[in-house]
Amino acid sequence: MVRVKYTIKNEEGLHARPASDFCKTASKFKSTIRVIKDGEEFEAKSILMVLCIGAVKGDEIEITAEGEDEQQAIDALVETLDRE
Amino acid sequence: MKILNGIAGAPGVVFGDVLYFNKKIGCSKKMSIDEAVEKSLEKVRKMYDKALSDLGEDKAKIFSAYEMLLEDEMFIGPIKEMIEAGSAPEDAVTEVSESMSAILLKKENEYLRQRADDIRNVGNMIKETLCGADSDFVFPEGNDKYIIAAQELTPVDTMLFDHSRLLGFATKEGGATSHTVILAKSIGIPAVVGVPDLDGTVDLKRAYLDGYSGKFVVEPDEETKKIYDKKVIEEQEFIKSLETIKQNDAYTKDGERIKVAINIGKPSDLNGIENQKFDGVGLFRSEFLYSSSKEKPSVNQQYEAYKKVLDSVYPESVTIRTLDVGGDKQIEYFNVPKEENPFLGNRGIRLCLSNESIFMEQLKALLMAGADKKLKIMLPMVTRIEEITRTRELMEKAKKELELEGVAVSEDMELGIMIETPASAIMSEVFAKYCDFFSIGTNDLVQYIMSADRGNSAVENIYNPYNPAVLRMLNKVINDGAKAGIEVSVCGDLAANADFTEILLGMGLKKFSVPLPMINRIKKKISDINLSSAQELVKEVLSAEDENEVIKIIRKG
Repeated sequence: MVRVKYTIKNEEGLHARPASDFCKTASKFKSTIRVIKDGEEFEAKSILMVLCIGAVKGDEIEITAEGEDEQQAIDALVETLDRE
Repeated sequence: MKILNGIAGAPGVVFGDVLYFNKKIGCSKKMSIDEAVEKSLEKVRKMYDKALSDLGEDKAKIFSAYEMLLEDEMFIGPIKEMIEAGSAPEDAVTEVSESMSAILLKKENEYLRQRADDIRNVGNMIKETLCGADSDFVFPEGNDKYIIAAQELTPVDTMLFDHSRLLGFATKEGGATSHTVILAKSIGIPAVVGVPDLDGTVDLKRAYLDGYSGKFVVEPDEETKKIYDKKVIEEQEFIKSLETIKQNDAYTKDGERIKVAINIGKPSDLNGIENQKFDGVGLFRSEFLYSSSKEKPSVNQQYEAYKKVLDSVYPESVTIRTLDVGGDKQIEYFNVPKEENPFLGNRGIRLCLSNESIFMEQLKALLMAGADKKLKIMLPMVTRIEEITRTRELMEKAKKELELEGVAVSEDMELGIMIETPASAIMSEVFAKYCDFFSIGTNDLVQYIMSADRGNSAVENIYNPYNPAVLRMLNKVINDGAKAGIEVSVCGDLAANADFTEILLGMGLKKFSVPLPMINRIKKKISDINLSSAQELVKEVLSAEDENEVIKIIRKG
């Protein structure tokens, strides 16, 4: 399992386009991907769950991936978040 | 005649027949949940394409969000599980979409709360497909246009409408940011939403829809018709000349150049100004930086926000108002105890000067962002000269500190005040010596002059900008500013109220600052006015004894 901590930099937080891009990227990978915020776990491949995270600018989230492509998944997700 | 009151959603005034949009959900032909989801997906994909070509990517995004929801296992999965466990499909959809949207409704973030509507809309769409209740709404034969009235219009509903047949929307539900309003604005038709007394009885009746005042007048009587027909004609003329107005500077009929700037509350309010000509930002409220977060904004955060606006408006100027809050808004890092009377308490510049270190941070961010740009700093709630001179001292100090760090700062920024207290208005002749400009904030000024809270319905007739006390004060400030040779603008509601345009011009006002949706309406109004007759009008209203007389004078013209 790979995990990484990330602080949301985007002005809009993890909503709107950032949320849908994040979710679309996660869906490309086979690994089980989760986002943890304030101790709560959310499924990263579900747009509903990603919205429910309710992450705003400055919030710290943790992303975990488990599976054959776990490292690629984490790298791609961090890149997606950085791009926003 | 029936006058239904609602929220002014999208601007415009129209007259026409009403069609009541009635969604019938009967469950005749049933299909499986998989089929219904598949059908719904097809539908939203089509809608996405249609919205993309008709309205652009921004408006189409909503349907791509719907698509993701329909494909989301976390949404569809639990529905299927419930059906397998024996629930009726439509009940399962209701249950799951309600519980999911309830989670989002609990969030503090406004955006997420609105997404709760998306989930409910998608749920309704699946249900309608399940039950074969694809809306059977069709426009009557012909090319006539109609005002569509409804309980509520979802983005899915509105995509059924041929835009060329629409006059406007009136809905019982919904607020100023609902999809109905967004759609109406993008196709340029009026919308009145949140009309509590709206029901099916309006169907096929003639009505006026006034998106400026939020009124829906059904079966108007002769008297009302006269008033509204004039408004409809004005509106049609306005729309005809809109493109020209948009791309040109404002001049009075007799050729005097008048500046019309815009008011904004955050940098993103500047979106959609590409083809719009305007004279800079006349009021940029800085409160959003302080109210959207628990911690105070850093100098850098502020700098970024100010710079974004200064850069995109350059070479025009931006007037940024320093923090304007008081005891009615509890901000943790400001030490404001609960006050008995916050509007007469420690607010605006008073609060900033009693928290100098926080104020210094804002001044530094402003000075940095203003380097090589046109920056005007405006102080709110000023009552004494000392507040201006103390701010200047702090500004010099901030400048020196930044220069020592080797940071570039604004060299030619202006410092002015918002005239919104009777003290500053009465003393405007003296204050003008200490300021580079005045901007009249009419909302608070009217409240303080008339000593009436505009939020209190028991005294709303006393909070009246037409009162001669207000007009005489405005006249004095505008003239004192002109005599001292400094710029005077009006940035409150009165600047955007077409009833006052001629009076303000007649008093000698050269700059208006209004919300973006009102800019072309005010520019048009200015172009219809002759300064000489405006000055005559001012003489008349200034000698009026009360607000009724003023209104009579304005309306007869």
